[in-house]
Amino acid sequence: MISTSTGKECIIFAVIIAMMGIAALVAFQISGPMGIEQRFQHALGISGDGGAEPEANGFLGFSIEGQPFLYAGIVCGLLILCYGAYRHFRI
Amino acid sequence: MQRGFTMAHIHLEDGSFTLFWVVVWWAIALILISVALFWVRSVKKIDTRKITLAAFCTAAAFAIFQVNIPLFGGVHLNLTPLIGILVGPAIGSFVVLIINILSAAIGHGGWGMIGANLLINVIEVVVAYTLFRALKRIFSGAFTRGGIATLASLFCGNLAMIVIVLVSGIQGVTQTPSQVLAGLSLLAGVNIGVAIIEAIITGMIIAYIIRVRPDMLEGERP
Repeated sequence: MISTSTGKECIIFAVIIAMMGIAALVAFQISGPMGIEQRFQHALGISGDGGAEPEANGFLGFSIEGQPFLYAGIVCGLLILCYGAYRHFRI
Repeated sequence: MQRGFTMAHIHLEDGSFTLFWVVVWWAIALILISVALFWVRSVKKIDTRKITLAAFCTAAAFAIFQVNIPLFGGVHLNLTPLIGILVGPAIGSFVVLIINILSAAIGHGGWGMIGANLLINVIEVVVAYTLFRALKRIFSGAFTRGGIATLASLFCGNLAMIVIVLVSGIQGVTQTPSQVLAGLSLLAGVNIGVAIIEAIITGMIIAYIIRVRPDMLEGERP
C-alpha cells in the first residue's frame, strides 16, 4: 500500500477541514474575540480576577506552587519511584 | 499559573476540582497506566527504536506544550495524536504521563489536574492510534490518515475535557451545568480550529517519516 495521498483523499480531507474550520470560526464569532483563558472564564462564569483561585493554605500538595524545594522533593521522589519500578519490574 | 484550556488540556490550578474528584481522576489515570505497564511487561522484547522514539516524542511534545501560538487568544499544540500514531497507546500513555508531570512541575496545570489531563491525553493517543490504522482500508495516503486521525482524536479529547469538567464541577463556579456545557462547547469549537493546524502538521510529519523511515511505523511502506 502506498503512503502518498491521492487527489480524492486530499479533497475529502480538505472538505473535513473546511467544515471544522467553519464551525470553529462560528464558535469564535459567538464567543467573541477574547483570549482562551478569558473564554474559559466566560464559559464557566468565573470572574477574571481569579475566580476559583484556591487559598494559599492548601492541602496535600495544593500549596506547593512557587516552592522550589517541594518541587525538587517531588521530582526526587518520582525518580526514586521510577528507579524502584524499573528495578522491580525489569521493564 | 495559567488558567483555562488550550486544546484539550485542562490548565486549572490545584483547588479547582474538589479533592474527591482529584482522587477519582488520579485513580482512573493510575488504572490506565497500570494496564499500559501490564501490556508492556507482557511483551517479551520491546523494539528499542520505539523507546528512542518515545523519548524524542516526550521531549518534542513537552517543548511544544510550552510554545504559545498567538491564535484565538493564545493556544498551544499537543502532539498527542502524533505520539499515539508513532509509539502506540501503551508507551504513549507513559509519554503523556511524563509530559503532564513535567508540565505541572513548571506550573502548566496543577498537580491535582494530572489525573484528569492524563485521561484526556490517553484518549487522544488511543483514538489517534486506532483510527490511523483503521483508516488504512479507506485511505491509502499517510497524510490524509494522519490528519483525520488527529482531528478525530483531538475532538474526542475535547469531549472528554467537557465531560470531566461537567462531572467534576469547578469550585467557585455559579453557572448551571447547561450554561457551562454551552460555554465549553463554544470553547471546544474554537479548539477544533487549532486542531486543524495540528492535523496538517501531524499528517505532514507522518507522511515524511513514512517516506524516509517507513520501518519506524509498523505495517507501513513508502
